[in-house]
Amino acid sequence: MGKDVTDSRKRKVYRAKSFAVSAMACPGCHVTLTEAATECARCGYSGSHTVARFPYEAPAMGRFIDPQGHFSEDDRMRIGKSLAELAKKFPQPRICFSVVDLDEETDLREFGFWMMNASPVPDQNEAEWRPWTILLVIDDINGRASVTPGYAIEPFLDDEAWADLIRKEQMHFFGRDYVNAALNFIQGAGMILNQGASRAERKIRGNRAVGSRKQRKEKRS
Amino acid sequence: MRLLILFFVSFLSPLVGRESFELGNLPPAPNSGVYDPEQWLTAQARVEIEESMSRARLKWKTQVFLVVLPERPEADGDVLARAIAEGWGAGRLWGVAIHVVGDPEFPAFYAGRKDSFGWPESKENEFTADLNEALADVTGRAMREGDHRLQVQTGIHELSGELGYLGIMMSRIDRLHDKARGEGVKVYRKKQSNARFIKRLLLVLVPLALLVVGIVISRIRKKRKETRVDFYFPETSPRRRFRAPWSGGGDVIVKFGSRIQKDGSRKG
Repeated sequence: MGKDVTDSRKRKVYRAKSFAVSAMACPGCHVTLTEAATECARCGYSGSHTVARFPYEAPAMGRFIDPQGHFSEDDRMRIGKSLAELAKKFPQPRICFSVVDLDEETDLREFGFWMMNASPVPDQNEAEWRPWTILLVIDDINGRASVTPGYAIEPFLDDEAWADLIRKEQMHFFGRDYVNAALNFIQGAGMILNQGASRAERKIRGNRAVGSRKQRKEKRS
Repeated sequence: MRLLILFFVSFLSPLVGRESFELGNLPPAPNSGVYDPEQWLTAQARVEIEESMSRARLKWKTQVFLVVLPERPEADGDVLARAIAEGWGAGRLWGVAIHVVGDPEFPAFYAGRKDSFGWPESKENEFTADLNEALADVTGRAMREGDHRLQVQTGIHELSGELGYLGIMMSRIDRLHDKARGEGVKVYRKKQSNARFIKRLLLVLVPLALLVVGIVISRIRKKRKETRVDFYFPETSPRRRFRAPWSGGGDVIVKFGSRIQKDGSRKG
């Protein structure tokens, strides 16, 4: 992964906005943002609010953040295989599963935001993984699920598609069968990433075509 | 009085024939096919000649004319003969006998045909050769007779017979030719119909083939996308917000069930 990211740095860096299909939202008041800001223009929310809201040490970001032990070793192996298959197609993104029990008042989206940012980054490897992380947080006790992406993968993902995917797997989530829910989530994630990849390819091709047209015009003039 | 009338008739009748028989101004066609204003032919000979002519006309659709003139015409014999045939409404095959009374170079026999029957060229040429040969035979046989009247009589008889035979041949060739042409038309129509069928087939098949190719290409592309390996998303400048280093949070939340009960179950 580290090598891949280094390679990608040599390539052109695009504006995230040019690929983004989903709007940004404030984790505090959930208002849609038109521009990235250090504070929410509506509620003044920022990262420091999260630290105050969750005043304890965030767990390390890993494939499974599962303090209650919902995933056995065998389950982790099965899910790991499925993730490895997905990584063959898409080496950059990393999917992490977190099953927690939260207070009913805690907003799961805000919790995901806190986890993604407050979780320790002990080495360069993790620093490279983190922006490409897709975190699925399952609030077991309250029957909720949320998806939080890192900055690097975010522009290529469609929020609606994630919501649809979780709704589709509602039966497994409802039955607390998080193993099969996770396995199907990985499969669905593959399709969502596929769609994102196709959009990105189209966009890049379109940009190239516009660029070459511009160049031709300039040459003529 | 009777003598006077006879005198006028005998004086005027040659004049009438002489005046009216010119190349550009032929007299009307005689009904019997015999033009003999001076009554040079005997009644018996005329009857026999007319019978031959009538038989040729009715049985074999061949027109034969006899022209007896008091003087040698200005025009060449063959030119005059063709003018007579065309002027008197001969059909596709005709014969003309011209006799000039007292002229040792006559009678002369001519035969002709329409310029083209619409047959293949080889058949046309063959028929023309047969016609010329028949005419030579007619002339040969007629000239064996010692008397001009008998020469005319025999010549007309032979000419009618020969042309009649050629008329039958002509009809037969016509039929064969029509049949061949009909078959040719059939073959041509079949070819055209095949071509039309192929055209229609192509009109259906080409778009269908393009559609199939399009579907196959799109399937292959889809499959390739589905089975894509090693796809790297392009690098983007992060939309950093809320002073958060790694993620700006997500807006996806789905409630899939109620809070877990004390017994560990969940309500929908």
